Amino acid sequence: MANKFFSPKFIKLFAALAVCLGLIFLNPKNLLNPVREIFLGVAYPFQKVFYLTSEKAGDVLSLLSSIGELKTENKKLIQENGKLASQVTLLQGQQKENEDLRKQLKLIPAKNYQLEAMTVIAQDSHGLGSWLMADKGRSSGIETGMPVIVYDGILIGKVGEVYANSCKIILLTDSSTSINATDAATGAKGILIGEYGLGLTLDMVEQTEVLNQGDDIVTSGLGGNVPKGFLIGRVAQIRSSADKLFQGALVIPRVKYSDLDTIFVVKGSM
Amino acid sequence: MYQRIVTFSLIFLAAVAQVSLAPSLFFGAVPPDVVLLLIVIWSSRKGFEKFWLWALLAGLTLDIVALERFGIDAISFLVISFGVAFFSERFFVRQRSWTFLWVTSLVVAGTLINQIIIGLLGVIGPGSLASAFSLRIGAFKILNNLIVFALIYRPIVSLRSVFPAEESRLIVK
Repeated sequence: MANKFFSPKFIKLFAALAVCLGLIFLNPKNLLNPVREIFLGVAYPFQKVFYLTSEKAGDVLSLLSSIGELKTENKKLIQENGKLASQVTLLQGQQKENEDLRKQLKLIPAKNYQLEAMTVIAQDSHGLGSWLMADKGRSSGIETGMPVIVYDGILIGKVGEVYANSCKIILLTDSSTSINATDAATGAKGILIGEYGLGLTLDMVEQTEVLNQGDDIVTSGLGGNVPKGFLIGRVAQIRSSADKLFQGALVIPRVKYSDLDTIFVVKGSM
Repeated sequence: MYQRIVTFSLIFLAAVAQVSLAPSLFFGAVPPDVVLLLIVIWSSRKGFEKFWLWALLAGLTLDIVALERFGIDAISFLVISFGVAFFSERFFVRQRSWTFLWVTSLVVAGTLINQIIIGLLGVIGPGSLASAFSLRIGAFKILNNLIVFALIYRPIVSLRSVFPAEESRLIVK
């Protein structure tokens, strides 16, 4: 039995595993980053083509699957159109109110920032939605820690690693994410953390503060380099910590991270 | 040399495809493990001794392209390649139809082992074990891997540049 473990097959396996463990150990020192840079440079055009092609294929597939539903949907849309026309008038009034509220909460609209548009070229292949890879990097002035948003100033994550022509964006749902956030309606402050790629939790909210289901959660601007006022998501469920010292909430992100194609890095304010 | 270039090109393109295929194309927005499928197919036919260096290289390639820590996918692929070759040498039978079903079951087992090893090695971060055993992700991974496996199995096996005629024969023990 012992001889079996000294067979060439086992020796090769254990030697290769030892090499891999060595590589994992060397990794935190970023000794192998130059190799990764070269490889990513070669992979970059392929990644872009693959992502854009598969996105188009995905659109075609969803179109094909929805053909049967189009007729009924069209009827519904005609009815909804009438309703929406009346709501437009109402919303025009609310827009003014919204602007006033933004001023009161000192929220800054996305247009006040210097943004760099990027295209997503790769995603976390484990299906956890932990990260995205975008097609701009050091050569476009992207730096680690810069916040990343989508249209309307919705925060989706931060730049985690920067390469020559690409960057890795760590999404809010990643377990390493921790951002100061606040309830836009009540001002309750807490720390937003990622739930291992499966969702978001607003934690460490004092029991004296008020959290309501359906409230919008925005960045508070405290600590770090994420400005105040970027929308994150909506409170779906409120819960208390085991020791009852704090309360928390399950937060549903405002956008589906796996469907993103164009995103913006916040390089600074105007 | 030509055989090596073709094999590496396939591994490289599979790694790029794995991270760059839009999740919207697949059930549950969970992309398939294309490189893992190549490892299972090739290891089941070539054996560990002839394929272990390729398994190591494929793992490192995926680690680079998928922005993961060097060595994590490589460890997983080495273990899976060893296991697949071990069982293939003992249970492979001559009938081609059974071969396909046999490799299909190896794909399911390989997918689960890959999820567990990557979870244990912490590629997904703290608490990754919970994610590795997420029923939803595991189920969609297996489903999507089986769909892609059914699509690529024949073309990959029929590649003479990777499988010279003498290597295509099955081993019965």
